[in-house]
Order: sequence, then C-alpha cells, then structure tokens
Amino acid sequence: MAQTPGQTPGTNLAHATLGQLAAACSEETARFQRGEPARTDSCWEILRRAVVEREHAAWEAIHTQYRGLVIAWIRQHSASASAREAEDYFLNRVFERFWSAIGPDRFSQFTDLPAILKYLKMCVHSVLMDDVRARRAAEIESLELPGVRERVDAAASAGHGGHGGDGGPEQITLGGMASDELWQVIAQELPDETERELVYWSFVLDLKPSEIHSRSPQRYPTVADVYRVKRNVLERLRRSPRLRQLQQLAS
Amino acid sequence: MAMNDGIGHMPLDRRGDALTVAGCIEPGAVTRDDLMAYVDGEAAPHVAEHVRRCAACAAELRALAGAQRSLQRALHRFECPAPPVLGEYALALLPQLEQRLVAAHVVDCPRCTEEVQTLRTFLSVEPQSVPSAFERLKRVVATLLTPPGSAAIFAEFRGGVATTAPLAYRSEDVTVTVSVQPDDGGARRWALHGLVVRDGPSLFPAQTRLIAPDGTTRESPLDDLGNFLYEGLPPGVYQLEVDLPEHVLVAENVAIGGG
Repeated sequence: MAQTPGQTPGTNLAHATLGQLAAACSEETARFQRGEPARTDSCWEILRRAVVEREHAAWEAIHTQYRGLVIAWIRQHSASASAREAEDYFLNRVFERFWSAIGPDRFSQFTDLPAILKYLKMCVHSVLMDDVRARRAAEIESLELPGVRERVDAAASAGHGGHGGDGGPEQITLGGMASDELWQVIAQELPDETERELVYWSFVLDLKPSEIHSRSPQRYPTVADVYRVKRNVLERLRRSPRLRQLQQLAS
Repeated sequence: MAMNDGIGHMPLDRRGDALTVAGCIEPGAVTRDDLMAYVDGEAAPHVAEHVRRCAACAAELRALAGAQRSLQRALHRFECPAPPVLGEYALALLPQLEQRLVAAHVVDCPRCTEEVQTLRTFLSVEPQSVPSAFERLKRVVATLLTPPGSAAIFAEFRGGVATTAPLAYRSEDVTVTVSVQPDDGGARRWALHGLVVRDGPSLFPAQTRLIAPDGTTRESPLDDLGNFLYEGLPPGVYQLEVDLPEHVLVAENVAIGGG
C-alpha cells in the first residue's frame, strides 16, 4: 500500500480511538484494493499499538482487518492445495507466528506498512512450509515396500534368517538419538569423504539418486553408480558395531 | 569374489557372486544394486516381480529399506534452518553473521533453495482478490430474543428515544439490540440505532452492514461503546450484519418503518 508523501506513520493519530482507527484502516485498505491512492497511517498506528504497546484490542483489530488478506494468501500459496489442515488452522498459526516473532524490539526493523505486511505474508509461507516438511517426515515414517512384508514374514516362519526385518540384528534403529550426534558417528565410520558426502546428500539433504547423479556426474556417471555406492555404504553401516551399540543405548 | 567396501572397486558384473543375494532362487536375475534402486522407488518392473517370488531377496530388500528409513528419520534435513529463519533470510532480516551462514547452507541445499524460491515467487504476486467478510467468515444467523412489541434495554443508545420497540438478537457471546425511530431529515425516512454488547470485559472494533431490500449495502463502524447508526432509511425489511473476529453475525428481517 503506497504511503502518501510527507506522511509519517502514526503522526497525529496517537489520540485517536481504536474504533476510529479501525474504521479508517478499513477504508484505507478498501481504497488500496480498488487501486486508488491510499494512506496507510491508520493501519500503521493500529499495528504500532498492537506490537509496541501490546494492546490486546489493537491486536484483535489487526486480526479482523487482515484476516481476509491472510486467507487469500493461504489460498494463493502453491503448498495449500496439498495441505493437511483446514484453512482456519493455518490462519491461526500465521497470526501466532507473526505475534511471537515481532515484538516491540523488532518493530523498528519495519519502515512502513508494506514491509510489515510482507513479513506477515512470509509467515503464511513459513507455516505452510512447516506442513510440507511434516508431511515429508510422515512419509518417511510410514514408508513401506508393497508386497515385501508378506514375503519376509513367510521367510521368517520358514526359518529363513535373511538380514533381519524390524528389530533384526542388522537393523539400524536410532530412535532418541540426536541427529548431530549420529552424524558424528557416521562421519567416523566412513573415513572416505566421497562416502560421507553421499550419505549427507542422500539422508541429510534428502536428494534422490538421480539428483545426486546430476549434481556430480563425473563421480557418478550413471544413476546405477549412485545405487552401488549407497548400497555399499548402507551395508557397512548396518554392520557397524558402534552404530549397533548406539542402538542398544537408544533403546 | 571378495567383498570390497571401498568406493569404486566393486565389480559391476551384474551376474557376479558379490552382487547376488545368498539364497536367491534365481542367481543373477536381480542384484543387490537393483534392490537399492527398488528401495528408492526406481527399479525396473522385473525387480518387483522377482522380490515377490524370492524370500532371500525380499529379506535383503527389507533390511536395506529399514537401514535407509532409519537414517532418513534420524538425519532428514537436520541441518536445514527452520522455515521462519529461511523466510527472514529471504527478507534480509537476519543478523549479518546468521545471514551469511544461512546463505552458505542454501547454496548447498536444493530443498532450502526451492523453499526460498517459492517464497520469492509467492511474495512477488498478489492474490487476484481478497475474500470479503461475506466470503471469508462463517455466517451465524442470530436468534431474535425480543419479539416485536416488547421493551428492552435503551440506556446506552446514542441519543434519542426509540419510538418502536427494540429488537434484541443474540449469537454466542454477542447481543445486538436495534431500535428504529423517525429520522429528523424528513417524512418516511427512518434511523436505525444499534448497540453491540459482548459478554466479558472488552469490546472490539467491528464493522456493521445494513443490506436494503434492493440489495444496496451501507456500512457503519461501531464506536468505542459499541453503538452504530444508520440514517435516512426508506421503509423496508433489511438485513443487518456485524463483522466479528470469529464470524459474521446476521440479524434477519429487521423491519423499518412498518416495512
């Protein structure tokens, strides 16, 4: 929203009632949305009272004023189509995040209304990204290979040991262990830098074998080369006494 | 053939012993590397078919998948900055040192690069339209508490004395009382005085709308005491709406001037 030249946010509005400010802000916003020149000082003053003075009523006014805009942003975001939660859930998270991130000490970082609304819009994105990351984590958690469990169960009942299923001797189970601590152990288990890099790319950065091949085609001329090295490393980590000891400590 | 755990030394003969799972029902048909590809969801169809028939390869596959899943669970993006931090990085709001650290990470991490790019695209485009209060809020039709003709509260009304009995509408913790009186402006024009009261200590800034029988809409904000006023109204049956933070309160069939 453009600011009228010569207008300093908050000027002469310190004594206005919240009701007056809310009405003026609503009008300013409507003008802006119609593409007409619009002032921003009333909206800015409400924000200032909400953020700097921590006035609860001013915060409610902000919620009322910008709720529609935040909903429009949520609907506009590319991640919203696949989101797991209802719109209201994200709406509440966005305002919570904004409220907890922007306190009186940070208000001066924002020079005008567009800047602080951009931050609010960033909160929409970050809340939706939380959901995207959580969904990916849930996918990993529930990862199953169709048709395999039945065969493994059949093999186990027939006395075929294989290399272990859930909880088997060579299963790496690391629940409860800090990620950085585990990474240190893995780094020690894999003295070859190329192997460490592959594990980092595969499991920390979550790259697919085809992405690893594209990233380093000289080291991995084909995707099959990525599978080979990755399989090799996984087999060694499964046999690692240190990781198995950590598994026992974690369980 | 001896196993060699070093990089680049594993023979790629797909029929070699080292690449065949011990106990496989069809040695050479599927290699351990094929199983790794299967775990990543990128194997050829014959691998799946073989695994369905071969218990040894199925067990090996499960062990590989279990190891991969454990590492994914434990390590997945553990070094990535949280989305709000990435967002502040994109807006250049982080302290200088942190800004540099996040920048270094983003350069190396395609997932974070993607998130930052998504944010920049998102910030650069405004939505086509912002939902109006009508579209965005749950609409709750208020219950008429006071039937026409009975008495009710007036004391807090802004000036004047009601000449028709007030109507009180209630929804959740909000009560809206309206009263109609002749407008000073002239014959057959009416004024609608209203008062919005919310249970509890605090009022709130809110907007009201009055929708005429022909669909014409007028707006009036609440003052600090919760009053609102519409003047110069022709007779008719109107609909009154109050935008509240949680929903739109709708009072239907507000008759004005015997309308």
